[in-house]
Amino acid sequence: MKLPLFAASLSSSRMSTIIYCGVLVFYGIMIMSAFPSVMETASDPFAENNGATITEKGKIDGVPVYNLTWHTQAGVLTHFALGFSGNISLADLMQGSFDADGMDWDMIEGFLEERPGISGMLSDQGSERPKEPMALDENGTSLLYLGEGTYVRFVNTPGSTIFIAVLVPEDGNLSNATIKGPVMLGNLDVVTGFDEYIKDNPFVEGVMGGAVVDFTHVRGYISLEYFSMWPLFLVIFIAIKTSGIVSKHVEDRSMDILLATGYSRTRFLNEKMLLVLVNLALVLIFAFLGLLLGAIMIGETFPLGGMIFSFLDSIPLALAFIGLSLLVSVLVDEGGKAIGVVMGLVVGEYILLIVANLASWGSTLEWFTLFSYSDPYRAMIDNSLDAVNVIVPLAVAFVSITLSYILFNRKEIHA
Amino acid sequence: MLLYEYGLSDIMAPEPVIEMRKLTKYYGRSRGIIDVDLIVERGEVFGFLGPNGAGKSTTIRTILDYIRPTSGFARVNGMDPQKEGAKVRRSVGYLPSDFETYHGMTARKYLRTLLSMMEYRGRDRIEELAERFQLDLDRKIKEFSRGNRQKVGLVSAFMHYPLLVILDEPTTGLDPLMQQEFYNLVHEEKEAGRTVFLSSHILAEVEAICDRVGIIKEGRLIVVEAMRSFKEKTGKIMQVRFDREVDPSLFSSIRGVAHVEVPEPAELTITVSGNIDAVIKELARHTVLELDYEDMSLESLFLKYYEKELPNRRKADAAGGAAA
Repeated sequence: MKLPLFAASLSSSRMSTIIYCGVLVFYGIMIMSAFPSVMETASDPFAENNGATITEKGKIDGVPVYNLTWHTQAGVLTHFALGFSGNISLADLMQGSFDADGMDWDMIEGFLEERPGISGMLSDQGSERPKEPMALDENGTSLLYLGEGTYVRFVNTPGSTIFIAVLVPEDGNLSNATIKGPVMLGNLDVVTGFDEYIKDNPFVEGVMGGAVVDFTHVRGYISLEYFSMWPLFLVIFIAIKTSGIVSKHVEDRSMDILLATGYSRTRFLNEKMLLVLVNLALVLIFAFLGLLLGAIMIGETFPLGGMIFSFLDSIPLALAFIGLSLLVSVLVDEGGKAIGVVMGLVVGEYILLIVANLASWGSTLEWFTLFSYSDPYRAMIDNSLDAVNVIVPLAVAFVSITLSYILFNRKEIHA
Repeated sequence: MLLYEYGLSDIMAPEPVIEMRKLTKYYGRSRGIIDVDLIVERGEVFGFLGPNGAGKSTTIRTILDYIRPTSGFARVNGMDPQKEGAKVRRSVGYLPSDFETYHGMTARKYLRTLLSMMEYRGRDRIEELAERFQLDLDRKIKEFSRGNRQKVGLVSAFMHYPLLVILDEPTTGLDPLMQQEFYNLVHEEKEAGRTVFLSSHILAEVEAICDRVGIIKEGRLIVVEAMRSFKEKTGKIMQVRFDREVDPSLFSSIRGVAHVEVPEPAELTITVSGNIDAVIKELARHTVLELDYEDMSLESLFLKYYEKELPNRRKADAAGGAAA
């Protein structure tokens, strides 16, 4: 069976489709290539106290590694960081009421690491940074860093629990030194930095569809970085493609000549809808390929089954918006206006989702936004589709597409 | 009844190509067309004349099922457009007004696509018509001027040898040479026994190519006439400046002179219907300093027919009102 209108429409819109598919591949690769560094950052627990922050940086040869950062200030002769271990609490340390004899000062070792973009990692004697920890006293307390930087990496050994940074004033009197910290390993929170961020910024969670997940794993990461916004991007693309099906041809009057060939209105819509469905399939395939290529490039295991279900999860949602966009296209005779109405619908639905996620009273609003009937993360984790998330959007699609066909067959196409 | 009033009874034939009976279209409360009765026979070139907004396009779009009539009915090639709209459109060649299409394609690809959509598998006339209209088929349509796009539309209307061609303002954007080429094409189509139905607001165009003409004004078909009698009734306007005052009765008494005005003491405006020979001979007896000779304006023509038709319509309306 020949489909000349489909072929002609595909040909005339091929550039935009190719560009969008290319962008999707590139975007997928970009997202996946960022995963290792995000993973590292996102998995950093941290503790902060009095201007010093300690952050867990993973392990080197099985030994935990931490960053201690602090800020120096004007009038400081020098500053250095110290690590302590022993039976000591923060309160004891702050009040000086601890038994130094009971401390194990020898358990600390550290090394300095130059941070890109920060210079002056020299000691105040102008020599190179110490290769070995400098012994400060007979108890083995080590000077880990002496100089102008504000960053030091500790290699922790069992029992090393407290870190401080010391800012020595210009008079060199240690008794007048300012202490940044202390921070204790025991204060390291098990939550990730991202979780903290989300806690402080609930709006972000709302924007992301309420699907905040652990993204230190590749599934969660893809869900968060890709699929949290994917339904919106997909729907916008597909709605734009659909909203011009009738309205654009009526507005520029090319509908006259297309129907003059003897095409029935039903056949016209059939071939135009086929074009939209092909576009949908292409977008899904190329989005999938982008992520797959990205995963291969970074050597990460690709959650194939879960990914397929995640993409499948978005199809009913896309079909629902295709139906609604088609309906708008049939009802509105100007292409630009039809796109405006459809975009208003898409954005409105998405805002409804955000409100539903944020407002305590807004949970029932979820029923009225199609975006709530898509959960790519759950589809990925469960390797299955939620029945409601399939049935509701498909019902909307069926009703709106059927209505569109009926109305278009009755439509008066004005000059 | 109206058909007889308009002198159509003599050309009624058993299988009209286009038939409209009391065809009426309202857009809400706005008038589209009202009670249009018309029959177009096979092999004739029919001109549908009227000013912009008179209802020409509405009539064409109704018989091609782009819009639906409020009342009345139409048949095209023996089919009811409301029931068989796609078949009706496939059976005709159609050029809409302000023709627009896919701009990204070459003219050749576009026309081939249309043929494919028509499922037309016979010999086509794309190359022949393109050569005739000097159309470069390998250029993209978006690179074309308005006139060249119109040529693409004309080729699309004639390329598959349709038995009926419906053209809505076909010469829009064409230069005079191409207009003449179009007129020649229409004559050839008629010679080949095909039917052409064209709408226009250009009187000279309709006079040049049509066998019959229908005038539509404010949605009503106010007259349908054979072109010969139409020409006799329409006439020309002569504006003459003499070297001295001339008695207008010298011209008003000539057979075929419909009206004489004296805009200035040494000037006459003479409306002539039919043969102008006697007028020319009378002019030759005077010293003519300046002579303009032009078609009667469309508006004057409408006024002429409208004034004639209005009392009839008032009578009909009054009768209808009394019956109601």
